[in-house]
Amino acid sequence: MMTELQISNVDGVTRATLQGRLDSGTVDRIELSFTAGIVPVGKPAVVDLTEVTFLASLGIRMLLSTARALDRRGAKLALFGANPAVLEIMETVALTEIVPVLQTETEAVALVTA
Amino acid sequence: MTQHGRQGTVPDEAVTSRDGHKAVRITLPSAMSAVETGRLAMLDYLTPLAVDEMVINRLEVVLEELVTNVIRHGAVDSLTVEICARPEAIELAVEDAGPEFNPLESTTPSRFTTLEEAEVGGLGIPLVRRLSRSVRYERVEDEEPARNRLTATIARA
Repeated sequence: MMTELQISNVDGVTRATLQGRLDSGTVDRIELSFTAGIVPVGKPAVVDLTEVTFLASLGIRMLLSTARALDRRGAKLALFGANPAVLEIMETVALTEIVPVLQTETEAVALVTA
Repeated sequence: MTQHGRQGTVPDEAVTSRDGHKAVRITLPSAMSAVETGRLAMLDYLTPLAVDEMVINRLEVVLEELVTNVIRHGAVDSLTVEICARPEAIELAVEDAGPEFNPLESTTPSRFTTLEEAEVGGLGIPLVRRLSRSVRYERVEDEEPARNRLTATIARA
């Protein structure tokens, strides 16, 4: 399955939706678009992981580096909707301790816009 | 060849581990396509074994990290994946015939504490360590060519 990426901006919040397997091959392909669609905008961002079926180290690196670059611009990034397998991988490397991971989009938007 | 119709690889070889368990070995080109081909071979092997989905996900992550590590750093034309299910755990080994290199001796990034200080690279092997019951490196020299062999043991429950 191809990983798909969609980015929109609604009410001052950047919303990125990822779909499929976030493995090394697909991260190589989408990382530039993902970062470029979120960081230069400089607005709070939420990333929808609901349809992400797989996550490994390169995907974690992409999420982490984008969150940090946005943080340096003074805006927050939060993740939401991760399935149990994806959530376990994020917890295993303690990504969840430095990048907020929420269950729902409403919670994520509330956090980044607070 | 399996039900997935994989092409460009050496056909899977059913082997028996030293302690008598059925295993499978597959030799793959050292290219990014090897990750998906190896994953499908692993799933073919595991499907009849009723392995928990969370365990399969851990195995898929470990496979991805070990195979991409060889592709990116191994300077080899091919690599071999071996999977062996035991009652308590599943062993996943990746071999390459490159120069001797033990990735387990690489510096482990410190645990994330703040977003600003987190090291974003080198997460693969630490992730493998944390998902596995054990990870061991061997330099196999009892047959030609000599090989690096990294084996991760993942608990079945």
